[in-house]
This record gives sequence, C-alpha cells and structure tokens, in this order.
Amino acid sequence: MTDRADFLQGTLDLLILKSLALAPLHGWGISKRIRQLSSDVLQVNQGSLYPALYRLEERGLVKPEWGLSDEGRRPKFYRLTAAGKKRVPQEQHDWRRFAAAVEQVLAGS
Amino acid sequence: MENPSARLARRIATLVRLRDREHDMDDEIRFHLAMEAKDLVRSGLSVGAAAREARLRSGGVERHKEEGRDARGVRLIGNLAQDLRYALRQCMRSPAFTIATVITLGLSVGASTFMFSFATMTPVPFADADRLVYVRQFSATGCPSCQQVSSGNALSFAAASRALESIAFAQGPSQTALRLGDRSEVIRSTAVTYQFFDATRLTPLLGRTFLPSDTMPNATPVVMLGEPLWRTRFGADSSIIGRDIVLDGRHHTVRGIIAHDDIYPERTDAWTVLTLAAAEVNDHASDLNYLTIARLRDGATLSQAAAEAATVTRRLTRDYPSDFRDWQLDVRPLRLYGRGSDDDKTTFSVAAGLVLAIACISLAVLLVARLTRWRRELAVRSSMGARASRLTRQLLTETLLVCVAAGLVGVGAAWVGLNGLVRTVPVSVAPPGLTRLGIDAPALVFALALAVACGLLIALWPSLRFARPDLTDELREGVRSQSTHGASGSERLRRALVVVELALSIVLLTAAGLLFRSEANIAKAPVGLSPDHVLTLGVQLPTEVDGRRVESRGYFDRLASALARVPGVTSAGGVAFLPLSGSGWSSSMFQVEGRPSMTGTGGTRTQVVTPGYFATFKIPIPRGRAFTDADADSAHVVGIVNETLVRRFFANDDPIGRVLSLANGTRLTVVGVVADVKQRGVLGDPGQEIITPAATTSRRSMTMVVRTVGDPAAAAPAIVKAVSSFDRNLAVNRVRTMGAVMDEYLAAPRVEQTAMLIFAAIAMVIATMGLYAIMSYTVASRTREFGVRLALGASEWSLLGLVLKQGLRLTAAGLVVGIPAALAVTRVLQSRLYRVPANDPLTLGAVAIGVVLVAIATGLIPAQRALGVDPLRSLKSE
Repeated sequence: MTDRADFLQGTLDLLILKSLALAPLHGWGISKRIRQLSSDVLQVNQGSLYPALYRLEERGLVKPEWGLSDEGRRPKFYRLTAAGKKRVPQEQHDWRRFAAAVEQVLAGS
Repeated sequence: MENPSARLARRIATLVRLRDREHDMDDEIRFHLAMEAKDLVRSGLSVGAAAREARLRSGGVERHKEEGRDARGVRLIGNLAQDLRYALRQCMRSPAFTIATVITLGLSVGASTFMFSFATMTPVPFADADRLVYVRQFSATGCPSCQQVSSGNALSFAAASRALESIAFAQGPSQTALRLGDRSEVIRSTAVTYQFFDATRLTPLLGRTFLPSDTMPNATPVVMLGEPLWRTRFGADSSIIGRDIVLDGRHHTVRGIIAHDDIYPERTDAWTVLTLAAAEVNDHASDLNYLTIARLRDGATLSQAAAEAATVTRRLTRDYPSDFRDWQLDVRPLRLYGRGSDDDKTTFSVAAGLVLAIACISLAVLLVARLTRWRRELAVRSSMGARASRLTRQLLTETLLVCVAAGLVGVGAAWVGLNGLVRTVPVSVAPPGLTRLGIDAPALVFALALAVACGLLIALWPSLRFARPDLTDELREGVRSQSTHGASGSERLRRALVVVELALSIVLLTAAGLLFRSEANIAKAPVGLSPDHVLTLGVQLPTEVDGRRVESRGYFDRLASALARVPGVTSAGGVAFLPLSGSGWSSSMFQVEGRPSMTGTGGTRTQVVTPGYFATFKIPIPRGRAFTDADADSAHVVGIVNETLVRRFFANDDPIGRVLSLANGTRLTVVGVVADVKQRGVLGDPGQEIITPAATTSRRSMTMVVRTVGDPAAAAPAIVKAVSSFDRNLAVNRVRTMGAVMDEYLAAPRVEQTAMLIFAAIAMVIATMGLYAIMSYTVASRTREFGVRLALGASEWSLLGLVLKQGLRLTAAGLVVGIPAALAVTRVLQSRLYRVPANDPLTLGAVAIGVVLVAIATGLIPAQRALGVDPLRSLKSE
C-alpha cells in the first residue's frame, strides 16, 4: 500500500485530471475549480499544485499551451492529452476502491 | 505512460529551453498570486493585505520552483550552483582539514608534474624525435662511453645501411666571433653537413636550408641563423635573407632562419656548413669529433639499425685491422646523445615517486578521518529524508572543489620547482634538454587530470562503500567510539599508513643525507690543480681578418707571454680544454713505437697547453720536465703524459724518451709525466691524457688562465684590456675566476642534493602531519579515560608518557621498516656518492635520531592538551 505522501499526491493528480476533463485551464483556474466543486473543503495551494502539474506533464498526461485570460494576460493553460484522457477512468476506479476499503475498516472496528 | 525515448526527448528539450522554462514558472506563479490576491480583494481585504495573504498561502515561491524543477527532472543543473555553495561552506567549516588536503594533494600533484616534465625532457625538439638516431663508436676497454664516430666509419656505415637514411654530421656548438658593427661578439655555431636538414626534416622559419651546392669546395660560405639571435641582434629583419654577415672573420650569406623551437643541437645560435676534408673521408681511427645523426627509414626499427651496426663492425675490423682495433659501432636514439643512459633522471623520478606515495597515503589517512564524519552525517540526513544520491553529489562537488584547488597549487609548485632547477643548474653541467624544461601544455593537462582523478577516486570510494548505511549502526557507533579505546578497524588502518609514511620519509632523508655528505666531500676533494687566484677567459681567434688568413701557430704562446707581463700577474698560460668546466674534449688512440701494438688506448684525452699552464695552476710534474718555449718546433713534437696513462701502459717502463704516435699521424717524444688532473671532476676515472704544446698545433680557440697576486676578479678588467691591446680582433668571452668555475662544477651534485632535501622535507612534513593527527585523535578519544586517571591521582607526567608512548611506538615501527628500506634503495645512489658508503652508519644514525626528536616534538602538542583535561568535564562528556 502506498504511504501517506504518495496517497495524497495520487489523489491530487486525480483531482487535477478530472478538473481538466471538460476544458483546458491554467493553474489558478484548476485550484479555483477544485475549491468550488468541493465547496471550499479542498484548498490546493501553489506548493502542491504546480509540482503536481509539472509531474503530470512529465508523465505525458497533460500538455501546456498558451492561452488568453479574461484580463488579457497570457498564462499557460494545461490540456489533457490522449493518454491523460484514458487515465481518468482508471484513476477514478482506483480511488473508489481505496475509499471503499477505508470505509470498511472504519465501519468494522 | 509514454515511452522512454519520448520522455528523454522531452527532458532534453526542457534542458535546452531551461531559461524559458524558468521564466514560465515565474510567470505562472506570479499570475497565480495576482489572481489569488484579486479574489481576496473582491472578498473585502485591502490590496496590501490581500497581497500578503496570497503570498502567505502560497508558502514560499522558491521552494515551489525547486519542487517544480524537481518534478521536471532538471534538478541536476540547477543544483550544481547550490552544491558548489554548500561545498564551499563545508570547506570553510573545517579549514584545517581543507588546507591539509589541498596542500597534500597539491604537493603530490606538483611532484608528479615535476617528474613528468623532467622525465619527458629531451634536447631533441622535433616531433618525431624517436626516428632520429646517432651512430657512435665505442671501445669496451678504452672508451666505453664515447659518443662520436670517426667519419670514415660513419660513411662506410651509411653506404651499407638499409635501415638508416640521411646520415649527417654535426660539430658543435663551438664558439665563434660574429662581427656586429665595430665590435665582435662570441656566439655559438654548429657546423653541419647539408643532410642535417634532411635527417631532421627541419623546415626553416624563413628562407631555405643548405643545398648540396653549398658544400662544394669553392662555394660561398652560407649560414643559417637561429630565431633568438635573429631577433636580438638583427631586429627580426626578414630582409637579412640573402645578405652577408661576418662570422669568424669571413663573409657568410644568410640562407634562412631556424625557429626557436627547432634549435638543435642545444644552444646553437647559428649553423654553418661542414665539409669533410678529403683525409677525413677515409679516416677510420682518428679523433672522434662529429655527432653523426641519421634517420630511421620508414618502417625500419632501431634494432635493425643496431644489427647493421654489428655487421659493419665486423667488416671494418676485418678491413682495417690496425686502425679499427677494439672498436664497435652502435646506433642509439638521439635523445641519449651525450649521456650514458637516463641515470640522472632516475634519482629524481624515484624521489618524486616516493613523495607521491607518501602524499597519497597521507591523503588516504585524511580521508578515513573524513569518512567517519561523513558516514554519520549521511545517516542523520538520510533519516530526515535526503536522498543518498544527492549527498553523494555533494561529496563529489566538495571533493572536486578541493581537487581543482589542489591542482592549481600543484601546478604552481611544479612551476616553481622547475624554474628553480633551470636557474640554478649552470649551463655547463646541465643535462641535455634542461633549457627547454618548463610547464608546457601536456604537463598542465597531466597535472589537472591527475588532481581530478585522485579526487574522483577519493570521493567515489566512500560513497560506493557506504551507499546505504544502516542508520542505527552508525549512530550507535558514534557513541561507542567515545567510550572505548580499543582501536577500530579504520583507526588501525590509519596507524599502519602513518608507519609507512614515516618509513618512506626515512628513506628520502637518508638519501638526502648521503648526497649531502657526498657533496661536502666533493667540494673538499683535491682536483690536481690550485684553483685559487686564477682568472680564466675564453679567447677566439678569427680565421680571417680583412681577407687575410690569420696565422695561429704560436699565437697563444705569445698571448700568454703578453699576459704574464701585466702588473699583478704571476704567470699565465693557455689550455684547450679547461678542467672542471664541462668543456668538451678531444680523444685519440695512440701506439708506442718500438712496442707491439696495444689495445685499449682509444679514448685517450688529447690536451693542448702553452708552457705557462702548469705553473699557473701549480700542477706538479713529478717526472721529466714541463714545456718550454723551445718546444715550438713542429718537426720535433714533444708531449707530456699523465700518471694514469703511465700506470696503464708503462707499468714497468720509463715513458720519458719514448715516442708515441697518435691516430692523426702526430709523432711525439715524451718529455714529462704530469700528476693527474681531474678533468671531469672527482667522480670517476681521471682518464689517460697526452698533452702537446700549443705552438705545434693550429688551434684557433683556447682558454687563457692567469694567476694573479691579489683577487683575480679585481684584475679581470686589466687582463681583458691587455688581450685587446695585444690584438683587437680577438674575441674574449667567459671571463670567470677559477673559483667560479669550481662552483659551477659543484653545482650539479648540489642541485641533486637540494632537490632530494626538498623532497625529504616534504615527505617528513606530511608524515608528521599524519602522526600529529593520530595522536590528536587518541587524546580526543581518550579524554574520559584521562579524566578518570587524573581523578584517581595519576600524575601529569604519566599522562604525557602515555601519549608520547604511542607516538614513539609508531616511530619505532617506522624505523624498523624504514631503515632496511633505506639501505636497499640508497644502494642505487652509490655511483654518484663520493667517499661515502651507501650504508653509511653516520647518516642513518643522524636520520633515526632526527625522526625520533621530531616525533617527540609533534607529540608534545596534543599531549599538552591531555594535561589540560578537567577530570569532571571529561567524565561528563560521556
């Protein structure tokens, strides 16, 4: 079983990938979306977000591209690659299994 | 997962666009911060508070960038700067260790570089020097180290040889007068046959080399100038090609300029044409005067040439039984010309090698100490999450930093050493090639490569050995070593290494001591003449003056008489080859008329003097008489032989009155026997010598020797003036007192001795540092024990004794290993020792006592610390 750091990292990766499933976003946008969708429970700060993003890019699951923000700035947008798109259901499935297992343990003791 | 090659491609792309990526990251993070701040402003904070809050939330931009870099896998480059800074800090933290390491490694690199430059020193500057050979003629009994060959024999060899091509003769360099305006300057010129440039494949800097037509009997004399002479005396004027200069009183047309790097033979200023006289072409036995150079044909080997030499030897022995008795022809690499072998390099190389060994050992000792500290550090930091590879990289960086510093120190040390060597060894006794000695590109590369290689070895070994230390073991051992005083494995290793260092130092110190004694003996040894109050000056007579040939017969006799009349002068004379000056010699064979022909007379030195010579140097003539002015008759040449010759060939016979015939046809009657003069120095055989009067020869250059009442140096100006008033066309050079000549002659053993002393001192310093380190460590690790002892009432002296005992035990072990080693190694020095046996007990005793004293002194410092131990504190330090 993975230890805590790995687990958290894997979860964050999944959240990022899922956020990008609908449309490409820049880093700030991803952190905002996660916050919104989780009703402010999950607040991803820069220190976790960008390393995770770069790692995903390293693994070839996301691709950066230049875009235009609402204010006319030009931040980097991240888009899911084909491999990334394929990965989302797998990661989701793994997470669900993990969560169910934890729940079982908590319920049983 | 994408495939590895695509990943690699992306990594490389990332590295390439590194700076862009850095900017991107900066922009991204800044954008994020701005957006976060804007959100906060929208929710009610002021702009300043919002900005602060946003930054707080982000938790440190630099760290993110670092982790971002980490994730991207471009850590290596970004970290190098950080590693360097960390390494620098680490070095500063333990300055003693850093300095010790830099010095030790630096000295070893310096010694190796010195040795490298010295070993690769060669007088033959050409790129393909190993294709160049020389032919020599030697006689095992008469002249085993003769370096030249009779011209007739060389030509016979050339005709028959298939392995050699372009045989050329060279004679010189010898002194000759160059007219510059209205004064003459003495320069050194070498006469060469035109094939010299073919053999050496020399291309001139400017102009052309000699042509075959230049050697025709009535051809205009031509000359090649060396670049240094061309620059200093002719202003690097390229129009000099084709113009005339006056050399030796005759006009020579300048054909070309030889580049500074191509000068051969060493110290030649100009090259003139050598033409063999008809008589010389068939000369198979006479004065061996020419350096005979040849080139190995492409594909031929030295052994093939040597085999041919043997064949030709047999043929010459058969064809010229009387002339060519006892001789053998030999072919050797040109770089060995003038030297018997590479002996003089061996001493230096061995000494430098020993220093190198000591330095390496010392380095190992220092490292073992460092290693223990590093292991602990590694263990602690591993437990906090640092990666072993990162630590290894830091260790490597730190080591490389030290190594580069050490490399520079080493190059500096070698440069100082080599320059010092070149400057202190006088030209006359310098081994060939010394003038070119220096730190050149190959030496520099060698030095830095050695430093880096050492460093890598030093850094890699611990990191490989201790890649994954068991955490608990390490931390536990740290505590343990404080409380025991049994030696751990590494501690034992350190002690053994220090013993080896001491032993090696003892070897070097003994060698230095022996050389010191030998040099002192040489300085005191009688050389067969009285050198005090004598001034010497070289005098060169030009061949022509204003188109008229200058007659030289009897010239130097008259000059000597003129000099003897100068006030303050007791006597004056002239000599062809000044003793102890390293000047060349002329040799010949001889036969005694009325006796069956003898063997082993080859290599007899032929000296030429004026009558006043013997009196000037106070050389005794035990039998017969010296020369007088009446001996100027060339029809009845007289001669004087020396005692060695008499001992070898006239054991039961009186030589006075016998007639000797030399190989060049001269017949002389022996009128006196002179005491041996050590022409080449006290080491070795004085050699047999035949002396003829100058008036019967046509020599054009001699060294005048003048005995003065007072200080010869003070009388020099008056004497030189007397020479030029005798004849203003005489070129004078090398005016020195005989005392100065003797100093130069002593210089060679002195240089060797100094170098050995320096090496020995370095070795001793390194060994002492090692000893000190061990004793310090002992004191430090036994602090608690000392505290206990003191508390139990032990006296301070007994503690001192404990510490010193360990030091002395190590020293004793060093002596036990070192003295036999010294005896074995110094045996090779025996041939250069004068009146000192290689196993001299006096020297060995002095060295042993010295080493013990140094050990005691070294031990006193940490021992003092042991005395200052506060018992309570040491117990608490557990």
